[in-house]
Amino acid sequence: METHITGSLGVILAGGFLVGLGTRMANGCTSGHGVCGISRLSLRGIVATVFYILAGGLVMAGARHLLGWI
Amino acid sequence: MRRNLSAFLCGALFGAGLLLSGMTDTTRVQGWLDVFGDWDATLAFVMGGAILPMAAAWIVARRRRTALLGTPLPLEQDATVDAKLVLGSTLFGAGWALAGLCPGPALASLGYGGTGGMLFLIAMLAGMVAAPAAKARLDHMTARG
Repeated sequence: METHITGSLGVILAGGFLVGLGTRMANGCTSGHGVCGISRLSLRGIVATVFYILAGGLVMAGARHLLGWI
Repeated sequence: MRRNLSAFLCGALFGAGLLLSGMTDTTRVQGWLDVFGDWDATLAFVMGGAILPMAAAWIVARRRRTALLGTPLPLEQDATVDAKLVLGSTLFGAGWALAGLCPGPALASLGYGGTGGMLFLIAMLAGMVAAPAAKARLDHMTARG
């Protein structure tokens, strides 16, 4: 099975820590806010999804294209 | 027993969905977030495709107080948009982009992710342990203005 998890230890640990901290702080993730929230037109779900996709896009741009981490 | 069996089957179905849809492939996920680079739009259809049956499920759930197996359904909607929601989601998005895993696929990665997946999961649990203190601090800061 293909997974392609990065081999860079720092990126894995930083990514994991941020995902754990952020999802518990916001009380939800892609499934909770994205799928379950948006499907019942929850304001919290919509706001959360906008922010994590925006942050993901910006961090991806910075980490991949400016810094070359991933 | 029935509840455990149901939980097991729902979990298995969810995991199979994550695998089939590509949510467990970190390259695909990172390609989806790479809006400013070589953008792979396909995962948007995964989210759209998951929202449609879920919306139908909510219509059924609205007429019930408990799930089929007796668990209370969370029918009251909370519309509070606060700093915890916004900052938490921003931090989550940052981590999601860095490693290409969100919590569901991270758990599923126990089955296929090797050492990297396991390290991600341990770091994720550490972040979850740190969250209540960070939330309290944020509440304190926003309360003072």
